[in-house]
Amino acid sequence: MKKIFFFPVLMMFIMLLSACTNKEEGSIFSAVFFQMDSEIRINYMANNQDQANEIKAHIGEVYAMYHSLSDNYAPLEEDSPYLENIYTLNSKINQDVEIDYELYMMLDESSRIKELTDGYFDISIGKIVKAWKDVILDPESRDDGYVIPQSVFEDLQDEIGLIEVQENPFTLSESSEKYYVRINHIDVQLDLGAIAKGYATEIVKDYLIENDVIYFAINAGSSTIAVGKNSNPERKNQQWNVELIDPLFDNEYFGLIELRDQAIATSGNNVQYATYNGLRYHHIVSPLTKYSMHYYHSLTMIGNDAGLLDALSTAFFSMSPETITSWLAIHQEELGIEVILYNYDGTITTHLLDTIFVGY
Amino acid sequence: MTLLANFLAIAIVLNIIESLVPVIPVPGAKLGFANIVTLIILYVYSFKDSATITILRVLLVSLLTGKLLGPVFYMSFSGAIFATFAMGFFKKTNLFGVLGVSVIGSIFHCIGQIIAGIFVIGSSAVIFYLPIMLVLSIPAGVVTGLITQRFLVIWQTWHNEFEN
Amino acid sequence: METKRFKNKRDFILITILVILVGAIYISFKLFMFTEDAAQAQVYYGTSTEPIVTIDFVNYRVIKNYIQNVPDGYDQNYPIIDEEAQTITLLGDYELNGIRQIVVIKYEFGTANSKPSVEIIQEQSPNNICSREGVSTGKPLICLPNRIRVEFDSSEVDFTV
Repeated sequence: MKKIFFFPVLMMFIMLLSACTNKEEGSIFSAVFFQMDSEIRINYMANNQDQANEIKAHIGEVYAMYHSLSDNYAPLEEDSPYLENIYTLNSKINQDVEIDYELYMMLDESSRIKELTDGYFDISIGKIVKAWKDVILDPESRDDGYVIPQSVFEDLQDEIGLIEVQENPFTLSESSEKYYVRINHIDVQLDLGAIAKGYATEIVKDYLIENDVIYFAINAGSSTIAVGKNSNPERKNQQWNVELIDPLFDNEYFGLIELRDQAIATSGNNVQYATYNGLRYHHIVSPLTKYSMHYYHSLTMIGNDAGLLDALSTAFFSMSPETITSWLAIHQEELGIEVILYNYDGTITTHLLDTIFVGY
Repeated sequence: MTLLANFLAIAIVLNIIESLVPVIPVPGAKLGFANIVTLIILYVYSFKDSATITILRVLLVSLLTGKLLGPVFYMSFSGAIFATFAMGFFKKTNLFGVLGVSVIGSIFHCIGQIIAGIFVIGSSAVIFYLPIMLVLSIPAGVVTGLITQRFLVIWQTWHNEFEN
Repeated sequence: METKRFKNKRDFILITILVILVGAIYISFKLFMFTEDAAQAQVYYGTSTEPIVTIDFVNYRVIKNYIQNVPDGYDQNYPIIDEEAQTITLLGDYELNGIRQIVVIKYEFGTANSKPSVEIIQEQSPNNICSREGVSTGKPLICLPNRIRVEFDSSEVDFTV
């Protein structure tokens, strides 16, 4: 009699145990870096602690390097291995200055993107951006929504009026394995803030892929994200689910996207802005008008190259919806770029290819 | 009648003793040893007597420990009701012996407590404790059943002798 | 008086079946319930269906949703959130000498190789049974004497931008 029970019990145990999902080889490690004014969090799967440490160290070096090179608030440290950073460069006008290869490549990429975006992305308007930041981030104004007094705004307008956006702000050159940049006009101040983080993240991403790290996610200050696959068994397609913050309402979200082996960059006007005549002015200034434009409250770019996306997310913020549409008509397919626009009136416009976006 | 009262007293004591053994962080959860008395009365007297004594027991224990109408009370009450009715029903069907009925009572006691717990806490999270309690209630039910069985055999012998 | 039979062969069959059933329930709970990655933990007080504190593991932050209604005579405004020590302190219902006691909940955000977790580290209740539940990465923590519970939500969201 008892024997009859043995078999079904055994079967049940086997069934239950085999329901355990298979975990991938390796464990998830994470690292946090504080660079480029951001908290950068990286989760990645490595085979063991040694490999994980090696990866973490290398990533730290990459971010530290690009942080140093793109710094426009202070000169390089005394013992720095680099030749120049943006801060020191900005004081050397009309002279050929030797720079490190990495900085050269970043400047080169910036020029390329300026052409690609018909001038909407321009790293040379640092002087104009600083004038705006001085007003918006004025120590007297703590909360967002600080209203700019008319006199202050008008003074700012005068100041900006005197600064011209240059068509050839700087020239890059190379000779015998040395790299040079020459700033061509006193009105030019370089500012890599709109591309450095994404650019560095792209390099880190390439490094991870080269080292066969398949499962990873890089979250640089929530404005740049680059991911591989997600090893969480809960995600059916090994994707990372990204929720989009609503720029108009605290702690609210307006949609969800699924990402895998892709990058995202976002731009928005809800982090430190000031108001004038009911409109928000912030750190993204149009190189064409020298003012913040008011087409969108935030936008999200999806694609493959984190650096390009970072730059484009800035450029697009100054483009009108029509300009974006015609630009995408030319470039979208070739570059695989997708866009989600949170318009100034609260509506959402999307230009998507394959990515799944679920609006709330 | 006095015998029933004695049983009640025993049940109360058992109940208080077993409440000193915390099973899970949802206090009021008990293993059900006080069910021994419920079971005995069920077999020696009747279902009605059993139910009455059990309910009285729960009420009195709550009064004595000062937790009347608290969460502990509701869980005890619910467990006791579930157990008593289940045991009463299964005894009637004559499918099982004392041991079987006892284990059934133990299981239902536990289910009753969990259900009350869910209402008292206001969240279905309590169901998390169901498996562990079920696992514990089976041996508890077996022990209770064996003790009761032994008692009943002795009682019957003693009762028969006494009658004659 | 007839001799009643108190034993029954079927009892053993019943017990065996119950053991198998309960065993299966136990194993399936262990395997399948509360094993997903938690995206946040909610702390509830009393019978309220709104959590009083939300621990957001995705964005590494703790949100106080409302203030505990504390009668006069008690010091501070609960809940108290200490972001350095990573603790949340609430006023529980359990009374010692008529005075309500605090409950301290510790939380940890996920790191290398460890899931986010919550633990009740200090409280007063019979046998201090609540704080003996240990660290939880998914299973609910229930402290009935204080009417406080912590539940985990798994979520669809990995990041927010």
